[in-house]
Amino acid sequence: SGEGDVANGGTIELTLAHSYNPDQPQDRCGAQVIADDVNSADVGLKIELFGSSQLGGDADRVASVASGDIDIDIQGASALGAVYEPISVLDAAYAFDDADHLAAFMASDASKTLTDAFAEETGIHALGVWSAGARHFTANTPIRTPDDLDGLRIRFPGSPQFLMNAKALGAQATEVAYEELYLALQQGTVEGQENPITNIKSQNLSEVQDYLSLSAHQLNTNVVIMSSKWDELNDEQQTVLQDAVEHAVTEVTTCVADDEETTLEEWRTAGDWEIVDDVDVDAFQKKAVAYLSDTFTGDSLEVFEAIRSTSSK
Amino acid sequence: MSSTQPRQRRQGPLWRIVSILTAVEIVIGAIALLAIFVLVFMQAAQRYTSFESFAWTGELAKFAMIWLSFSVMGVLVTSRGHIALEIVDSFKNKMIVRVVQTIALVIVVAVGAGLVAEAWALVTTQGIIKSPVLRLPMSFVYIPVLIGVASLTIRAAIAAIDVVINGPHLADYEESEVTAA
Amino acid sequence: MSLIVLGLLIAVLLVIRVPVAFAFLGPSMLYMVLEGQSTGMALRSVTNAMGSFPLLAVPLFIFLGALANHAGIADRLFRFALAVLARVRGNLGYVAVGTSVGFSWMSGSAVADAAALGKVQIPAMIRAGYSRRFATGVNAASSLVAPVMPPSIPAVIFAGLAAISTGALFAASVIPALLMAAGLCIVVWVLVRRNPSIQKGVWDRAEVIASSKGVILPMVTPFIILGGILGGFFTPTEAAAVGVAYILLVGLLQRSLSLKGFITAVKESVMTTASIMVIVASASLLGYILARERLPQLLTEFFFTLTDNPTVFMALAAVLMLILGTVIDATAILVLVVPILMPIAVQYGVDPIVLGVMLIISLMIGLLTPPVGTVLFVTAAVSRTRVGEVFKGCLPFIIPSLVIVVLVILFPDAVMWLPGVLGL
Ligand code: NA
Ligand code: NA
Repeated sequence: SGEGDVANGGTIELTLAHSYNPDQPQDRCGAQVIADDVNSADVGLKIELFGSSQLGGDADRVASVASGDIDIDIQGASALGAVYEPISVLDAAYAFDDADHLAAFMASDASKTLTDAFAEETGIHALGVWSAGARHFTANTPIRTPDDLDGLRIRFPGSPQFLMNAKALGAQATEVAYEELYLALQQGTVEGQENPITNIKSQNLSEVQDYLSLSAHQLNTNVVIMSSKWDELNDEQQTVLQDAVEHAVTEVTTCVADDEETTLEEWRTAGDWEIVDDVDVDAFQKKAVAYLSDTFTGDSLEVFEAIRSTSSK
Repeated sequence: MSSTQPRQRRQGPLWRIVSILTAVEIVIGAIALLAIFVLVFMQAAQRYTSFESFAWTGELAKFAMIWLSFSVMGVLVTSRGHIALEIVDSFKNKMIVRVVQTIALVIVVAVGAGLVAEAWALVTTQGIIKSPVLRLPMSFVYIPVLIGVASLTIRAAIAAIDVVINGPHLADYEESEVTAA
Repeated sequence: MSLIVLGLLIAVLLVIRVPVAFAFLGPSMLYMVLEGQSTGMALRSVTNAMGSFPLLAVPLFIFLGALANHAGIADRLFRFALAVLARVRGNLGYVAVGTSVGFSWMSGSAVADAAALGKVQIPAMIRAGYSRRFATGVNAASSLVAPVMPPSIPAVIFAGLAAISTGALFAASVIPALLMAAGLCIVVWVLVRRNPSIQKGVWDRAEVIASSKGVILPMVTPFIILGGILGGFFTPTEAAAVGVAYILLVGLLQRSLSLKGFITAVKESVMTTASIMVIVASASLLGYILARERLPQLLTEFFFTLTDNPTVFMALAAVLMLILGTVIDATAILVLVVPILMPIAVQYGVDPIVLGVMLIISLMIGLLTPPVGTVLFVTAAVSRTRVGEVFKGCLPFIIPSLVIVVLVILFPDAVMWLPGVLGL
C-alpha cells in the first residue's frame, strides 16, 4: 500500500496472507512468529496478517503475490508449480526422507539454485520452506504395501504433482473437492484419501474412516514467498525478515511434531480408528523414486536428483 | 404494469448488429452451460467406470462458468436482465426516469471501461500463472472475459443512447428471460 | 477511501437503478485503484469467485428447474394435485401449496417457481371464484418453499461460502421446508373458511389415476438427487448434473420435452446463471475489500459487546436479514454476510448449518416485500395484477415463514436432528 509508506513516517506495511485457520501450526507457529519478530524489531517494517483465505484461495493468492498485491504468502510447493513447474518437485512423493532431510536440502547449495531460478523466472522470492507434516493415507482398510492400494479409489488433490505422486505410489486417484471430502468418504463415494495429520484432524476424518496408515509419502512443504517488494527493503530489514522466517521454520517444525504426537496419542487413547505404523515405507519409496526418476525431465529432474543426493539414507 | 415502450425501437442496422452479437454470445453461454453439465456428469460417471480419472474436468467446468457469465453479461444489459432496484421507474415524471436511466447506463459504461482495462491487464500479465491442473496459461482464460466486458461496455453505451433518444425502458417481466434469483 | 464512502457510493448507485452487480463493482474498483492495488486485481478476484467447484451446482440446478418446467412437469403436478384434492373446500389454495412442494424437489429458486406455476394457477383460481389477492398471495408465498427445500440455490451458495457440506445443509432444510408448507396450508384453511363462494370439484378416480401417470417419473428426481448424495453415489455438485441427465431422459421418454423447449430451457438457464453469478462475483470483490479493512473483526467485537447469548445473536442476525432483504438481492446479501457472520456464529457456538437455514429462510421472505421483491414483481407480471395487491395477498402467508425463523433460532437442535439421524 503506497499510501501507508508516507502516512506512517517511512514504516513499510507488509501484508502476509495464507489459507490456514488460527489453530493450525502454519498460523500459530508460522505466520504469527514472523509477524511478532518483525513487528518487535523496530526496523520500519510492519506485518499485517490475513489468514483463513481472507484474501483469496491458494491459486488466486499466488497470482496476487506475482502482481504485488499481496507482499508475503505461505503456499504449498505444488501450488507454486503454477508459476514455476520445478519448484513443485518439493512435493514429489518420497523426495524427502523426513523433515531433517528437508532441512539439509534447504541448507545446501542445490536449494539456492532452485530458489534463484524461481525468483529469476517469477520475480517471487522464496524466504523459507517448512513441512506442515507428512501426508498419510486413510481408508477403511490398512495400507501397508503398494499392493494394498489396488482397487481403492483414493482422493488426491487435482494438481499435476499430486496426480504424479498417485501414479508413483500405484494409487488410483479420483477427484473430489476438499469441501466435499468428508461427505464423499462417509458415503463411500471415494474409499480413501491422503493428507497431513493436521488436516485429517481438522476435517474429523477419523469419524468416517477406519484406518490411518502412516505412510509419510510426501512432506507437504509450505514455502514462504515474497513479492518483488523484497527488493525495496534495506539490508537491515531483509535480515530481520529472513531471520524471522527462519525462526518460524524451526517453530513450525517443532509445533507440527508436537501436535502430531498429541493428536496420534488422542486417537490411540480414544480408539477412534486404527493407526497403522508398520507401513512398508521402503517398498513405497523404492517404487515411487524409480517411477519419478523415469518420469521427471529437464529442470524438474535436476531438482529431484539434487534432493535425492542430499538424502542420508 | 403495462408496457409503454414502442416495438419499433428495436429496429435499424444498429439493432441488427446487436441482435447478431446477442445470438453469438448466447450460443457461447449455451455451450459453456452444456459443457458444465457434461464435465460434471463425467466426473461423477468416471468413478463408476474403469476409465482413468480426468483431473481436469472440475477445472475446465470452472472456466466454463467464468466464460458463461462474462459472455452474457452484456446481453443482460441489452435485455435488461440484470437485477436492479427499479424504484425510480415508478416515478410519474417520465423525464426524471429518462435522466436517471441514462445516468445509470453511463455508470455501467464507466464500470465496463474499467473492466476492459482490468481484463487487458490480466491478458497481458497473467501468462506466467498457469492453471492448477491443466497448466493452461491464465491469460488464455481471460481472453473471453476481455471480449465479454468489451461487449458489455458497447451495449451499455448503445442502451444509454437509446434511452436518451427513445425515452425510458419500463419493466416488463413478460419479456425478461431471467427466471430466478 | 474509507468504508463509509464506499458504502454510500454503493447505496447511491443502487437507488439510481444501476444494476446491483455494477453498483458493487464500480465503487469497489475505485477503491482498489485508490489503495494502490494493481490493475487486474479486482477482475481477478471477481473471476475467481465465479470459478468455484461447489458453485457449479448453481447453473446445474437452474437448468434442472428450467428443463422440468419446459417438460410440462409443473403443469402435470398441478393437474395431479387438483385431482387428488377435488372434494376439498378451497382446494385450489392447497393445490397451489402442494404443487409448489412437488416442484420444489426439482427447482432451487423461488422466482422460477413463481413464474412457472403462477401462470397457470392464478387464472384458474380467479375463474373458480377466489379473490385475486388470495390467488396471487398464495402462489407467490408458496414459491418460497423451492429455495428452502433441497435442491436449493441459496443453500449451494451458502455451503460454498461457509465451506460446509452442501448435503448436510440440504438435509437440515427438509423439515423447515415441510413446516413452511404446513404453515401455508393453515393460512389457506383460515382464509377460505370466510369465503363461501368458491367452488369445489368432483372426485374422479379415473382422473386421479390418469394424472398420476404424468408425475411418477419426474417425482423420482428428488430420490436421485438426495438419495445420490446421502447414499454416497455423488457429491452434491455431481448430483445436480445427474438430476439434469435424468430429467432430460424423462422428457425424451415421455416425449414431453421438445427441441424448442430444450433450447428455451438452455437459454433461460444461461441468462439466469449469469445474472446470479455476476452478483455473487461482484459481491465477493466487495467482501475482499471488507476483509482488507478488517470489518469482520470489528463486527465480531461489536456483536460481543452487545450480547454473549447465541440466541440473541441469531435473533439480531435474523432481523438484520429481514431488513436487508427488503432492499438487496438475497444472493448478494449471502455473499457479503456469510464470511462475516460465520466466524462470529462459530464463536457463539452456533452450528453453521443452523445459521445457514436461518439466513436462507429469513432472506427469502425479502423476495415478497417491496421495494425489491423479485417474486412479488414476477407474480404481479404473470397475473397482470398490481404489485400492491399481490403484496397484500402475501402478508398473511409471510407469517408461517416468520414463525419458522423463530423456531429455528429457538430450537437449533431440532434443525440438526435430521442431518444427525443421517449421520451427516
Ligand atoms: Na428446491
Ligand atoms: Na424485498
